[in-house]
This record gives sequence, structure tokens and C-alpha cells, in this order.
Amino acid sequence: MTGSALYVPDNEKYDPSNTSGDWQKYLVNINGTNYTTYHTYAKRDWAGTAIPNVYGSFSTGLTWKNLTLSGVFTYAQGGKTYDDSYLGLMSMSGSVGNLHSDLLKAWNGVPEGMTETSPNRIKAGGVPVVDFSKSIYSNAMSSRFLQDGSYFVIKNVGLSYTMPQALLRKIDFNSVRFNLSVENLATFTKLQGMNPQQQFNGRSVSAFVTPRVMSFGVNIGL
Amino acid sequence: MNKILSIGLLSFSLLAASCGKDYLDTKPTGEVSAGTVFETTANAKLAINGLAKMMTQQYLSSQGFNGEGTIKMYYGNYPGNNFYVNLSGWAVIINGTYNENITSIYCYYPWYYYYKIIGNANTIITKIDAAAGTEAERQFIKAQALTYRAYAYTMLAQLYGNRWADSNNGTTNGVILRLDESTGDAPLATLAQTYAQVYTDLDQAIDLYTKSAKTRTANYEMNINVAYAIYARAAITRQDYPTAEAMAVKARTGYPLMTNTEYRAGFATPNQEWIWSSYGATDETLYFYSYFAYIAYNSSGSAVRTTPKCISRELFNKIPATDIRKGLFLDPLNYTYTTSTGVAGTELKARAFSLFPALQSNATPFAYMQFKIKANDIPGVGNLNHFRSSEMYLIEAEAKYFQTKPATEIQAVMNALNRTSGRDASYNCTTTGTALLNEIKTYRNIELWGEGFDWFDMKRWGDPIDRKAYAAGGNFLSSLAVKIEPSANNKWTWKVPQKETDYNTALE
Repeated sequence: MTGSALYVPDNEKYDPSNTSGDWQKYLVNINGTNYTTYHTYAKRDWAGTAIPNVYGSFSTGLTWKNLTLSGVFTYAQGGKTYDDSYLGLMSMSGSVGNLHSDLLKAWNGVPEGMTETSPNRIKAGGVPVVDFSKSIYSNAMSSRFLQDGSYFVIKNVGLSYTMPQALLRKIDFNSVRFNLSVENLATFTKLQGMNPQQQFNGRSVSAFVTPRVMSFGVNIGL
Repeated sequence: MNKILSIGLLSFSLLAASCGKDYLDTKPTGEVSAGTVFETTANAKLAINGLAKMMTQQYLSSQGFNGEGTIKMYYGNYPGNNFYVNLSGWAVIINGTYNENITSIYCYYPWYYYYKIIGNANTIITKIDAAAGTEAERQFIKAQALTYRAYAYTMLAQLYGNRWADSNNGTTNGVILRLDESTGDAPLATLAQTYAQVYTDLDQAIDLYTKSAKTRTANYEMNINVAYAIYARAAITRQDYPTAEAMAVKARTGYPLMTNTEYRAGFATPNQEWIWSSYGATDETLYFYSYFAYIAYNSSGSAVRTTPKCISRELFNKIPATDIRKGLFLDPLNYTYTTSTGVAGTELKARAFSLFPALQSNATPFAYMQFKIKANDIPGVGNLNHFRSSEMYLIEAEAKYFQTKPATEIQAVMNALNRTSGRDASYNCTTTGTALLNEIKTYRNIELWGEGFDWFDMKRWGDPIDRKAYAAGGNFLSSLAVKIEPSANNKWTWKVPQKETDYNTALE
């Protein structure tokens, strides 16, 4: 009951019955199942692919009288993203640095009523104890930081208004059009701040958020 | 439809036309085939130079990794007992907790670096016999390549093998002995086999140096004394004391201890005492990546200006006032400094600048900071010493001690190193028994401070690292003031990196 991260051990390579193994120190048995607290002795396994089942974009345009509303949307469904930025924010180092607010949910002592044999000893998806000296065990590369890479992005929304001929004649212009558009209006992903579009290999590292650009334009034809 | 077909045909023919065979068959200018290199001994000599250069190159596209200097700094100095640097963020390295972290770059760097040297040395050893030239030249080149290989395996055994005392006489794991150009699966040898290979290589090298009778032209090249010196270091680590003693004496023959003037010259230029070093010059520098940019007190690197390298307060206090080595560290005397970190107060800072004007004007002096190592040029130019006679005296003394030779003999060695050399005119070794061993250890710590021995020595001796914060008499940051038992951290043994086990099925 230490708040450590638990990994599935590699029992084939590191035989749990071999009492002289280096891995014994990190082996824990909870309600009859073995776990290891050090990723070095954990099992390496297939955890999914970065390739989405389906991805693409669609655009649309609506015209009503002199107003045109258009939009471009991109999406991907399925596929995993390894969020290195999140990993970095969840790892405490010895010096001052940015941290993720999820750390507030970290293990903070033995929960009330918890005993060695409680059925709920393991908190799936829990955040391990925040301890700088344990960071290498708690925040190793693992499926814990693997996220669903599905996303939906409103890439562009545009609204334009074309001035009717009747008005134009009065001000002696050939054409006048106003448009308002927003790039990257919104990104919907599993985890806030994650950018699954960054790399096709499924890693997202210190991604600079896609800038949201709002522009207003007037087009006058003399 | 026809249009699409013709576009397809056109692009196909364009592709086909660009695939002229001889067009792609040019040799890159940056690489030379092994056949060309080993045509003559004159060419092969350049390959030996390449081995020397490999020890001061940047690796793994990462700033800290500069060849041999990194081994000294991150593996010898930082995790040692007497080396202080105000870097709390480095606690995982300084406190040695990464030894089992098989995916970490710190775990695979030495493996990668030394096997690169070994791989290149193997090519020379395999191919040199067929090169055109005199027999003496071939022997000299082969001897040098063998010496490099022996050195690399000596270092690998110390990092990735248990300390000899824990190895059950060498039956625990050593490293992979790659002795030819093959790159396939290969199992780990035992630690005893690893050291046996080092001995074999050095025996052969010494034989070839003797037969060849050629001499080297520069300190960065290998010669017979280097082979003896590596032999002595390997043997003392393997607790083979008779060999260590004999080889240490042979290694230092012809390399008298440096004078006090030379001692104060910054450890960046070869002098009479240096047995082997790596070359460094302004036109061949690694700039801020180099070893000296991390330690030389006059460097303009931020690693030095903001976090200078300091001796532990405890060890400093053990240096007698009459010893010139005491003057190579900033004694805080009664001046104030921030005791939790070591940052000097205004007066102590002024004192540091008046004593050592070569300090950068924007440097932050620390109490107990070092002035032993000084770069020849900015930011970190200098020749990097690997072996010098002082180490050989200390190996001799320790080897004699463990063979229970008469204390007077050992005292004489200690006096030669510390008194006759002029380093401390009033030094006189009179201790016996355990006190004598402790004195040898203390003087080894003092003499070789900052040269990458600290952790390796503590590991070999099986002594715990015991760093203390100011209140307990030390000068370490609280996060670095820890006690590390010899049994901790996988017995101070780095595990075989995952990058090796992933591709080498013989390690399953």
C-alpha cells in the first residue's frame, strides 16, 4: 500500500519463483496476482496501433440570400496516441517545472478502510504517488500514457456576405464582400491539450497548440 | 481513359529513366572502405587516430555525451562520494538510481560508446596483418588497437559487471566479448572471462610493442606504458593484487611525478607524469559539449558559471594545510556562504576572483569549488588525461596493502607520492593496518578528485557512499545528501541496456 505504479510482470523472462532474481525486489503480490513496480521487469506487449480506422475531412457550404456559411472539418476515428507532453507534465523532477493538474488526484496515503486484502487494492487509472525519487518507476513509458487518438477538428468556419447589386449601384462599386473566418475553431480529443494530428507515428511531443486565427476581410471591386 | 494511360506511361518512363545504375554507384567522400584503409600501414595509422578521436566526440545527438569525458563526469564524478555540484535535478544520476533503468540513455550510453571503440578496434586487429608496410609498423598498430579494446572492456566491466567482491570469483555476468567483426547474437561472458580477455589483449599488446620497438610521437597515442597502466587498473579492480602492483610500477617507469608548478597548471596539457590522454586544441574542440566546458573553472559554459564543481567539505578538511592540493579549492575560511547550496557570499566571492582572476566575470563562485582543472581556451579546450603516474603509485600502495606487505614498504610509496613529489613537504606516512588503508583511500580521493575515479573507487572498495548536508558536517544539497549502501541500486551495477537485449537473442 504505497501508491506505486504497477506493471504486468514478464514472468517468462523474470521467473517469479526464482528467489535470487534482481526482479524480486520489485515484485508485489496483490490478492493472488503478481505485479512489478519497475518497468524494467514488466511485460512488453502489443498495445495498439497509431493508424486510425478512418480519417479524413469534409467541407460544407450553405448559402441563404447574400450570406454564405462554409466549414472544413477533419476527423480521425480509432488509432492510439502516445502523449509525451502529458507524461512530461505528470513527471516530477528535482527542479522547478510545469506540472499537470491531474497530479492533484495522485495517491495521497492509504484510503480509509483499505487493508492488505481489500478487493479494491488497485485503482485502475489512478495517479501514482508524487515522489521525485520514485518518478522513474511511476512515469515510465507504458500504456498508461496511451490515449485514444480519435479527434474531430473544426478547421475552418467562414461566413461571408455579398452586397446586393441594388446597394452597390448607390455607392458606385462593382462588388463588395465581407467575410469573417476562424481557423482551428475547436479541437475535440480524449485529453485536453493533446494534439493527435502532430505526427503520424502516434507520438505527440511538446506540441505547440494549433493557433486559432480569426480574420475579417472586406473585398471591394472598383 | 487514354489520357490517364498516357500520363501513367509518361510518369513510368520518367521514373525508369532516373534509375541509371552507375549514377547511384558513387562512393561517399565521408567514408572510406575498409579495403582502402588497410591497404597500407600508413593508412591504418589513420584508423588508430580515429580511435583516439572517438574518445572526444559527441554522441547520441545529446549535449552531455562527449566520449570519455562523459564517463568521467556522469559515471565517475557525479555519483561519487566527494564530488559536489548544485544540481538537484540530477539526483537520479548523482544518487545512482538509474542502474536498472534499461531504457534510459544513461544506461546505454557507455555500452554504445565503448562498443563503438571495440568494433573499430576489432576491424583493425582483424585486417592489419595484410596491410603493406614494415612488420614493426603492423605490430605497433595492432598493439595499439588491442590496447584500446582492453581499455574499453576494462571500463565496461566496471560499469556493467558486479564489483569483484560480489562476483563469487568472477562467475557473475560480465559483458559481451566481441573480438571479431561479427555483429550477430552473442552471449554475455562471465566477469572472470571478461577480465581474462583484457589480460590476453594486453599480454599480446605488450609483446607486440616490445617486438615492434617503435615509439609514439604524442601523448594521445598508445604505447607499452599505457598497456601496463590499463593492466594495473584492470587488475586492482579484479582484486588481482600481485599483477596490479607489478604493472603499476612498470607503467609509471619513465613518467616521473609532475612538479608543483605543473600541478597548478590546470590539468589540460600533457606533462612528464601523463601516461595517456586525449588530444584537445582550439581548432578541434567540442565547444560547450567538451569535458572541460563542464568542469574547468575558467570555462564560459553555463554548467561551470552557474554550477561550478566542488569538493566535499569532509574531504577538503582532510587535506593538510601544508599540502599544495588544498590551494586548488576555495576555502571558505570564516567568510559567509549559503550553507544549503554552497553559493559564496559577497566577500568570499571577491576572494575567489582575487585568487583566481581567470574566473569568468559572470561566474557564481561556490564554497569548496575547484581550481584544479582549467581549460586552455574557452569554452572548454584541453587535453584530457586518462592515466598518470600518481594513480599508479596509489594502485601500488593499495595492492601492497592487500598482499599484506610490510607497512614500511607501503609508507615509502605514499611518501614518494606525497612528500618527495613536493606536494606536501611535511607529509610523513606512519600509519599501519586499517588506518593505513584509510590513508591510501583518502589520498586517492584527494589526488584523483575530479578525474572520474570517485564512484569507480567506492564501488571497487565496497564502501558506502555517505554524503552529508551542512548540518552533519558536509556541503551537499539535502536531495543529494544520501547514504548509498554497496548492496543498493543493483549493487551499483548497470544492467544490459534494452537496445542490446532487443536485438541480441543470445541474451534471453
